[in-house]
Formats: sequence, C-alpha cells, structure tokens
Amino acid sequence: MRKIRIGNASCGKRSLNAKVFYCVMLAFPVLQFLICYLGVNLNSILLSLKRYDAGVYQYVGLTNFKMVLDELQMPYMKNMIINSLTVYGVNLFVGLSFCVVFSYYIYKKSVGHEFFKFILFLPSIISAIVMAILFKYFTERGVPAMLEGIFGITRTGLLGDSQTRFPTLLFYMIFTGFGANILLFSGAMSGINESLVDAAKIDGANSFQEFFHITIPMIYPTLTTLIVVSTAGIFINQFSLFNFFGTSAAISDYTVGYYFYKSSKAATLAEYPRLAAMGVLFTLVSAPVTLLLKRVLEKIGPSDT
Amino acid sequence: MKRIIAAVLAFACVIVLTACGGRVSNVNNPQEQIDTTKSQIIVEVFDAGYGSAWVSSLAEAFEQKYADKVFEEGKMGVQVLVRPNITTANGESLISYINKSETDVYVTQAVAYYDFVNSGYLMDLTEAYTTPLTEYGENKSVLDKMYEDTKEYLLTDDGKLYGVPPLQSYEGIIYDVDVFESYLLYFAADVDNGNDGFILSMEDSLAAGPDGVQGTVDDGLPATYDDFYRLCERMQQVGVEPILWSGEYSKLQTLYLLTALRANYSGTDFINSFSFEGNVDDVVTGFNGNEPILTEATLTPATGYLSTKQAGWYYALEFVERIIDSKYYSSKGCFDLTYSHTNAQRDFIEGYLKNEPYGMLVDGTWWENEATKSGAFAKSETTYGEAGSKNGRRFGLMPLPKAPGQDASPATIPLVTDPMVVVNANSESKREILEHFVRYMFCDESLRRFTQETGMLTGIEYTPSEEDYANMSYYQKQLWQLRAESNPVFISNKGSIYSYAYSTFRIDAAWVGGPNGMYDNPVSAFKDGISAREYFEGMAVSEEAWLGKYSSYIEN
Repeated sequence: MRKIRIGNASCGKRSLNAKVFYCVMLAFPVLQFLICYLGVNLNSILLSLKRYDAGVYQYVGLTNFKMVLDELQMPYMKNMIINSLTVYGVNLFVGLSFCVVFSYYIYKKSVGHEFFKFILFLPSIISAIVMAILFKYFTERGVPAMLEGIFGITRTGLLGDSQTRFPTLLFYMIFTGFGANILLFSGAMSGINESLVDAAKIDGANSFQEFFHITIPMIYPTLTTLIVVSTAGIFINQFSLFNFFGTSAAISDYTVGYYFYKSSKAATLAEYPRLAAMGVLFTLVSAPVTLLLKRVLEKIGPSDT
Repeated sequence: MKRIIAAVLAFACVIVLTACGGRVSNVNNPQEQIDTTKSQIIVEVFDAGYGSAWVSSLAEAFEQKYADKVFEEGKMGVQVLVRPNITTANGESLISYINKSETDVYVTQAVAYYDFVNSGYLMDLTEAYTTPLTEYGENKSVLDKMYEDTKEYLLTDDGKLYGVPPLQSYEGIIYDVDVFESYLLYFAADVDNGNDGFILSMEDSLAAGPDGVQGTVDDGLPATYDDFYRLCERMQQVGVEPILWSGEYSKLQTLYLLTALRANYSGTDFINSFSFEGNVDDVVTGFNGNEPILTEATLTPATGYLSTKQAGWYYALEFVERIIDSKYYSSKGCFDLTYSHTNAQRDFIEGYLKNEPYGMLVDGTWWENEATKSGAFAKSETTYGEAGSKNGRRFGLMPLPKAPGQDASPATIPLVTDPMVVVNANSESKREILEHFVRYMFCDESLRRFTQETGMLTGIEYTPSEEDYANMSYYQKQLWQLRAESNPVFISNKGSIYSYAYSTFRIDAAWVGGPNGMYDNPVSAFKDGISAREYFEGMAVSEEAWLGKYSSYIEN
C-alpha cells in the first residue's frame, strides 16, 4: 500500500512536470502565432476600415472596399486574377501530377532513380535567387545561342520575349517545385506496407494498376495536404517574378501575390488601407474555397476500410 | 536526459527572442571600432549610383574640424560611423524601421517625404537649415541656397524643414563626344552644305540646337525629333550603333527617358501634371491621322484625369516608338535580361576605341560614377591608355530635341530618384552634433569637396571654382554647363492626391497604358506591334475612375 501511495505521488509529480514542460514548449510558438499571425491579420482588417490623412488613421467604414471592388473591374486586375488561377491550375494539374509520377519512379527504384532524385531536388538546395540567375542566363543566352548554332534561327531570349515569357516562367515554376514535393511523396510512398504491394503483384497487378489502386490511395492524405496548401496560397504566389525582374515585371505577367508585394513595397502610408482591404477581399474568397475543397477531398478520398 | 533537452530547447527559444525589439546594429561591419573618448553619430548611405566615398570624405573632414569640441560630458570630438548600405538605406524600405533604427543620419533616395514627416520619424531641423552658415564664413543659410521648387515641396505648411537633397539626378541620353567628332555627327549651321545638314569638318559652324541659341552646350545636337531620327540614320550609315541601354534595366531606363521627353515638352509646367492645377493647352481630344488635336483645359484636383491626356505623353511615346520600329537600338543587349547597366557602360566606353562605336547611351547622370566604381574606366585605361581613361574620354548629357510643333527653348530636365538627407527623430539626444553635421554637409566647403569627389551636381545652389571646374572630366563640365543653361524641375508635389497615390505617379508606374491598360513598359508594347497612339489612348484615365479613386482627397 505504501508503495502504491509513493507510486501515485511520483506519478502525480511526473504528470505535473510533463504539463509544465509542454506549456513551456508551447508558450513561444503560441505567442508567435498570437502576435505574428492573429495580431497582424487583425491589424490588417482594422486597417482596411481606415483612411490615412496627414499622419492620422481614421475609420471610414467600407469605403476602401468599394474602391477596391471598382478597381477590380480594371482589365489589368482581371488579368492578374486569371494569371493567379492559371499558375494555380498548372501547378496543380501539371506540376503535382508530374511530382507524383516522378516520386513513384524514384520509389520503385527504377533506372537512374538516384540521378533523377538529385536533379529534381537540386533547385530546392540552391538559393532561389541563384537559381533564377542561372535560369535567366540559360534562357537569355544559352537558348538563343543554341537556336542560332543548330538551326540558324536568331531570336531574343525567352524571358525577354512577351510571347514566351509566361510559359517559360510556368516551366520554371514546375521544375523548381519538384524538390520538396518529391521528398514528401517519396516519404509517404516509403510508408506503404510492402506486403500490400506483394499481394497485388501476386494477384497480377502491373505497375500502372499498383500506382492507381495502391500507391495513390495510400498517399492520398499527403496529396490532399499539398492540394489544400496550394489552394490557400492562390493569391500569395508571386510566381518567382520578383526573383527574375525585381519590381519591374511586366504588368501582363502579374499575379495577385506579386502585385501585393510590389505595391506594398512602394506604397505610401495612405495606400496601405486600400491594399489591406484588397487583401481581406481576396481572403474572403480563398479561405472558404480552401476549407470547402478540404472537405470535398476528405469526403471523396479512400476510406480506411 | 529529458530535463537537459528541455533546458536546451528552452534556451534556444529564449535566444530567438533577442531578435525582438531593440535597435538595428551594424551587422555589416563587425570590425568597426568605437572610440569611446569621442561622441558617435551613425550615417547610413544608399550605396548606389553616386556611391558613398564622398560621405566618408565629408565625415573625415567633419571629425577633423570638430576634434576639440565637447558635445558630451567626458568626451571630446566626434566619430562619424559611415555605413554604406543599398538595402536598409533605401527610402522605400526605410519607413518600416527607421523608428527602431540606431542610425542617426540617412543619405537616401526614393523617400515619400511627407509619410516620414507626418509619422514623426524625422528630426525637425528648421533652425539648423534657416540660420546663416556664419561659422563657415557664409552669410546664407542652407534654405537660402535651396532651389525654389525644392524649397516649396520640402517646407511644410507651418514652415518646417526636415530634409534637404544632397545632389541632383537627371536621366536621359548620354552621347559620345569622341564618336560625334570622329564621324562628324553634329548638325551644321549651314543646312545647305550638301551633306544633308551635317558638318563636313569640325571647323564648320554648328547649328544652334534645341534651345535655338548658338554658343551653348547643345550646339550641333538634334533640335527636333526629325533631326534625331536623321542622326540615328546617319549613324547607321557610317557604322555607328545609334542607341544602347541595359537589357536588364530596359524598362526603368526607357521610362526615365520617356519622362525626360515628357518634361521637356511641357517645360516647367510639367509640374501641373502632379499638382493638378493650372491652365494647360495640350489636352488631346482626338487625332487627325497621327496628329493629336489639342484643346485648352483647366486642371484642378477634380479634373486631374485630364493630365493623363496631355500631348507630352503622346509625343514622348512617338519618339521611343520610332527608335524601336526603325531599330535604332543596339541588338546586342537592349533586350537581353542578363545585359546589366555596367555591361552597357563598359561597352559604351570602349566601343569607340575598339571600332565598335555606340553613339548614345540611355542612363542617368550617375553613370560615370557607376562606371568608375565598377572599374570600367580603369579597365579601359589599362587596355587603351590615357585615351581610354575617365579624363581621356569625352561624353555629354544630350539636351533632348523638341517635339513637332514646339519652339526652340532651353531644355527642361526632371529631377529623378528623390535623393534626401534626413535625421532620425529618435536621435534627439544628439541634436547638437547632428545640427552641426548637416550644416557642415551643406556649407560651400563640403559642396566643393562633393564636387571634387564626384563631379556631380549638388542638390542646392553652388558654383564650382574655376580650379575645380578645370579638374573635372569633360562629362562633368558639360553637366554643370547644361544645368546652368536649362530648367531642372522637381516633380514631387505635396498636394493630397499626389501624397496619397505617390507610388502611382512615380516614374516607374505612371506609364501604364496600351490596349486595356495591359502594358507598363512602352518599349515592350512597341515590340509587340502596339502603336504610340494606341498606347497613349490606353493611358487615359476616365473622369469616373479618377473620382472613384480620389474623391475623398478632393476638397469641395
């Protein structure tokens, strides 16, 4: 009995210590969340309701929102939104698809899988600015030189030509987006129970059937997470425009994310409320869409049974 | 074990907290030695274009001058810590952290001045700038030496002054005097000399140029747009590449050129396009072929949208359209995104010497300092001797030609980049030293030093001595002469609409146009086959859109 009492006292003290430990560990990230996420966003919402005049911010209700809604009718604004959706769509249907396929190839340890893993992950290791500079030299000097040397065609670089610039940037986005995603998918695929795969092989399943009926369902949670995160970032994605062009990207290539960054950088204090209102409006669109998509993906996904 | 890990993690978290609050310290130069026997002030310099060497020289001279002065009890003299920085000293970013910074003085640019003033981030230096500089043997104050339009913008409504520009920057076309002389590219006074209006030898009398007056700095240069096109064609005939610019910065540099052309069209009335007041007579109501039909109008904050329809924008676009359509630009690098401004400067300097001459370079007045800093002149001198050196080569800033229908007159040149010297309001405890520093910065002794170091134009009135003038490069001399013969115009305004939408009216944002406003780079639009007229028509802002955006800033 005495031993049990001592055991209870020890358990109680350990439980308290554990609680203290968890609280201390969580205190800083929670504080950071409260200040750097909640506080900042709350401040943005309040800012969207104000107007700046001679050093003072005054509440003006929904005036900024009305101004933003008018501004969104402008052709360049509509084009910006279309660009953001295009970038999202290409990233999702092309980029993510290729990611899954390449991850599967690496997971199956097919011919040259180590080499492909290295090449596809390289852009994630190299600094983004360095990567952009390398790519810029390739497209502006390498490609024209190759075209002239091999086919005798003289042309400007791909990024300097308004016809080829956007598709070139899409290619860059897909290529440099592989690294981290492949790591995630490969990790998820490695967690697939080997006995499941063996059983499928015994039943006569080929690689394609294994991919669609075993691999995809098993990595579905990872796929869902990436799709949801990508959707949440529709209006944040700068499309690497700043890396290539600084604040001088062509207006026809703007995405919403790039527009926000460029505008905020150059804005006067008086322009912040308008930008804040625009940010709130885009959030009011992207947030419910993201949550809805998450719900739909969870519903249509494979069940555990 | 768990406790040790917990302790280490907790310690790591606490360490991270040190990034919060506090003041920014000099992470760029940990070798900086603080002399504890002296008072310190910290000066951050936007280290581009004109560089920061002149500030270091100024700092050294200031330290020597006040070596025996006691500003703080227990200390004698001042140590000026000069910190060149291209990131933190940029006006655009500065507003975010100046109130947390330990830096006392900023020599910066791209400053939305009234944002800083209204936020209380700048030290009020009215007394320092309005008291005559008698301690330096002068009877004028810094304010007395400022240009009128700069003074008008920078003085607040209650007569306070928080910043002064240390220098003036122009952007436009730099021409190679050596190329012009060697290939006889100047226009002759005798237009019927049988050489299509160009001189036959350097002994010929030169045409009067855009200002219509002989004996000035623009003699022999193209007076009209048509003259300019003829000049480019002549260059192509004699094997000179007419125009070069950096492909990496083609948008910014050509926008600066367009703004210079725009200002040159309107003259000093150009400022009406930003103040939205005054009578104008060049609002385009339609076109007769490619000729704009003009009408008069009165600009007010409510009718400010009419400023987007002024003919100056159109003629500037037409000028650049012709350069693109006729391929007067160099195919080497003008649209190569990897062709930097220093590459262009290097090729421009060396081109004449290696028989691949360029006639003109689109850049800013700071280009010579940049080329010096990048080693382009040094390399040229090493390769070609004295003829390739900074003092051996001859360049000039071209007063821009007049648009169709314009009369000859002195050039109007817009001041760009908004350079400014400001003092941090947080440095109140060092007010006495800082007032001495800024007064010393703008006394004639320092202006002389600045001129000697950079050869560039001071931000306030100053006349270089004959000795200093004689020691300047040809380009620097030409620049000073051009300023004396032209009308520089300060294109900022403290009206409520301009202050609110400063980023919209800036040079790199004011040229949005083309079909549906889908271009912000006219050069790119022209390459895509858009005409100047289409581009101009796309720039126009409707009354509805104008009022929708600015009605809250229009006083009834």
